[in-house]
Amino acid sequence: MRSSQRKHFRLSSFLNLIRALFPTWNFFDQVQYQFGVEIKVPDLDRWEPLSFNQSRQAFNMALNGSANLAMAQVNVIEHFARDIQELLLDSPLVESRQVRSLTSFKLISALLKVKMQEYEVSPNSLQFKVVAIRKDEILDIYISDWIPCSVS
Amino acid sequence: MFSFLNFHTDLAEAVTLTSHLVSLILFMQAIEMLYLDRLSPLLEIWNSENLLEDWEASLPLPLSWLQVLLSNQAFLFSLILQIALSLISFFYPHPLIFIGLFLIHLLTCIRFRGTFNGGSDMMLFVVLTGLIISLASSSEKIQKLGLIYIAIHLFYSYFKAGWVKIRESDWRQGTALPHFLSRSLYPETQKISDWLFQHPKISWIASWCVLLFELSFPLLLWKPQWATLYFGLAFIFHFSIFLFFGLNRFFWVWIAAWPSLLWSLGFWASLR
Repeated sequence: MRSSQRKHFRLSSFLNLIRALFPTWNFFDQVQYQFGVEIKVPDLDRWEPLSFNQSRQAFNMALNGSANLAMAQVNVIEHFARDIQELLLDSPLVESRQVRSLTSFKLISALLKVKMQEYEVSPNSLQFKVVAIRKDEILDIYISDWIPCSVS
Repeated sequence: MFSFLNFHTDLAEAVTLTSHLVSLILFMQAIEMLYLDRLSPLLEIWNSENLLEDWEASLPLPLSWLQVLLSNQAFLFSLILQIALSLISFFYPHPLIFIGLFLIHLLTCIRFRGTFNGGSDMMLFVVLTGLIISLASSSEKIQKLGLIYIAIHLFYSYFKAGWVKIRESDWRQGTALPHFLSRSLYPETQKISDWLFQHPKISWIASWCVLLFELSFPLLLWKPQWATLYFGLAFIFHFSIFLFFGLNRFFWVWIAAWPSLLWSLGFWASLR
C-alpha cells in the first residue's frame, strides 16, 4: 500500500538515517570551523552568542544527560550550517522559502525557543545567525529573518 | 599474562561480561533520555512534527506506519521498553532480547537523524551485532566469530582514528589537540586548551602520545601478551576523553567492546 501524497523516497537520505550501522572511525581528525549560533531579540540591538557550556556533576560518569543533550543541540546547528552550505553550492542566492523548508531549520528554530525558555526570556520574535568560528576568526554563514515566538 | 582478566580461554565469560555491560549501558541510556525529557523536553525539538517530512523521504515505510512508529508517544514507550528489556537481558541474556534492544536503539538514532551521540552509537551497534551472533548460536565456532567481529572493529577503530589524525599536519605539529579541547562544553577544558596553545611543546608531546597509542595497535598482533597493558592505556584514554568532553557513553561502549578484543587476542596467541 502506498500513499499517493508521500514524498519521493531518497536512498541517500535513508542511508544517512541509518549511518550508525556503518561505522567510520574518524574521530577528531580535521581541525575545521566550529559552528555557533547568535541571537537577537527586538529589545536588543546586538547579537548574543548562545552558550552550551555545562557544569560537572558527580554522577556524570553514569548519567550525563545535560552534556549529551547539549552536544546533540550543537549537532543541530552543525547540520543546519552544512545544509546552508549545500544550498549555497547550488546557488549563491538562497531564498528564505528554501531555508524554511529544511528540516534542520525547523529543528534549530525549536532549539532556539527551548533556549529562550531556559533563559526565561519571552520575546515576541527573534532573529538568529549561524557563525563559523576558528580561533580568532568568525564568519557569518546565515542570518535569519525575524521568527515569531508563539506561546505554546 | 592474561590472568588479570582470564579471558584467554573462557569464551563464555567474555560473552557474559559483554552482555552484562551492554545491558547496563542501554539501561543507563534509556534512564538518561527519560530524565532529559523531563528536564528539558527533547521532544520540543526532535518531535514527529518537525521530523515527519524527513522520515517520509528517508524511510521506505507507509506514512501511517511512520506516524505510529515515530510518534512522540512511541518514543517514550520505547524508552520504557528499553529499560525493561535491558534489565531482563542482564539476568537472562537471550539473543531475541538483544535484537529488540538493537531495533529500539536504531529507532532512537533515526529520531535524532542518524545518531544521538555519534561514535558511541556506532560502536554500540557493533557490540550488539557481535553479541547477538554469539548468543544466537550453540556452535562454539559461531560464538567465537561474534566476539572476533567486535574485536576487529575495536582494533580497527583505534588504528583508523590514529591514521586519519596523523595525515593532518595540525596533529603532527601538535596544534590540533588544543583546537579540539577548545570546543569542549566544559569551561575548565577550554582553559586547558588555552594553556596548551601557550605551551606548544607540551601540546606536541600530548598529541604524539595519542597518535602513537592509536597507531600502535597492530603491535598487538605480534605481541598479544601486551593486551592487558593496552587495555589499561585505553581505559585511561577513554576516561580522559570523558573528563575533557563529557563523553560518558563513549567510555562505556568502548569498554564493553574490550572483553571481545582481550579474548580474541588470547585466541590469536593460542593459534600462533
